[in-house]
Amino acid sequence: MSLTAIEFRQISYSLPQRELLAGFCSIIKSGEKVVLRGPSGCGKSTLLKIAAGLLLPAAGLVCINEKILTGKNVWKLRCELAYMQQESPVWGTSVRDYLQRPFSYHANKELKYDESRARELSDELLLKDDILEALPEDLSGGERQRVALIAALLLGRKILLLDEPCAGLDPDSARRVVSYLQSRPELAVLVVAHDSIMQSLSERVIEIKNLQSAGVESMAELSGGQE
Amino acid sequence: MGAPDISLSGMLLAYLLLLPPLGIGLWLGVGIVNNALYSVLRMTVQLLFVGLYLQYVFVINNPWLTAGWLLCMIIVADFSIVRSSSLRLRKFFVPVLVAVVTGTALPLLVFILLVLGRPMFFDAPLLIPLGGMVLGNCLRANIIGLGGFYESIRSERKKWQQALLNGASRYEAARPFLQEALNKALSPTLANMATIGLVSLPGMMTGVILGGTDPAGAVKYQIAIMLAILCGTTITAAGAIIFTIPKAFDKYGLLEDTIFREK
Repeated sequence: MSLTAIEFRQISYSLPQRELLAGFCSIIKSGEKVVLRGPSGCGKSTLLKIAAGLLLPAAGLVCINEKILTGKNVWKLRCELAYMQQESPVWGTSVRDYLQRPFSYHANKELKYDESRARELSDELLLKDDILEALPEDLSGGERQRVALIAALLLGRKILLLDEPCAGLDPDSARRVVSYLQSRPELAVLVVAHDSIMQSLSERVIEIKNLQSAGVESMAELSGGQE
Repeated sequence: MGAPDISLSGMLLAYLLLLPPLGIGLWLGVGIVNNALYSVLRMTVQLLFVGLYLQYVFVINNPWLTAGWLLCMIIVADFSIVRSSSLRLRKFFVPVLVAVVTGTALPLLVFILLVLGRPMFFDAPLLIPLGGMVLGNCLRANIIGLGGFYESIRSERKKWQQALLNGASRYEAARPFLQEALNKALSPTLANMATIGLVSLPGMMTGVILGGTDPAGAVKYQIAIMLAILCGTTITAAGAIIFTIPKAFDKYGLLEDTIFREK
């Protein structure tokens, strides 16, 4: 039995000057890893934002864990997913402060911050030993991405939306991120990636073409992953 | 002993003090000349009007009239706070009004009824000048606080969104922005308190001394009014932000772009 983690149903989205997505459909099962690929400006990041409830599609709807995302349940559904934006912001008095802060939010009150797990994960992802004490503004781009990923993992989110998670990462660290994600079969991952290391995460690739250049035949789903 | 009255010719001479700033403005090509003339004109008209009006208000000293005038002052302050913060009046007028009324009423009630021990709150010669001082400071603090709060959420949109995704409610996500905005809003008041008397003799103390009170008495007034101002600015600055939050975000917790008034 496998549940649907994310479902895009007939998603359309337009920028003021041009149409970005038209009737986009796709299903990501729980535990499945999927790579979103396509030329820049084709709407990949937009899809992730729509799934995270940060953008509203002009038409269509998105389901998270088989529930239609609405203004009512968005606050609950956001706690079932994590969205790592490009150049993730990390703030607070230290990295530890940043990682701990969400645990003070009412929505996460059943969860407890686990320092040893934070250390484990930062070792696993090849972050330096004193990363938890570091100041957020001193982090490099690659470190920030990994800290943001750790934040999502500490919160136990099972659906990860990752936008260029390996931007600014050295190849070794990038491979660590990929193999870590692969070692967690329960995590559904939808990743936007240009680099080949991150694309090696999964066989299943959703290719998005530029609507402008591609005309009607806008989106084609490549290779399988169908159960 | 009252302050010596300024004669008409003396008043005209005071306007001669305008010449150096205008001269410097022209000489250095600073585009402040038109602005300065406009501001001086407005100041003159407003103060003449208020002076005339207050003479009657003080003589009549009717509680309703006094309350009405105070309300006018509060509404004008509300308008200027929202407009100067480049925010939309339609959405923000009421919540900011609630904050300003609370933040003005509380310190003034304490000041007049408890500190001065007066039997009547709506006593024009006390309430109107004191109210003006508290409101003037609230105005400044709120433009920095409220405007800065929404501006920084707009410019740090990612941080706001990330907080929501980490599970924050609107208020939880607002916390770091609120702290920063309040810090900025209150630091001029606090800096002013810390240096007062050493550098500047505050307007109120000068007024009370010119009015014939000895400096020791004037100091007591000054201390009380500074505390009232700190109390008022903190309540209005925090209140204006907290009360406007429900109006500024959509049901997904995203900042509504329509709250900003385009310049």
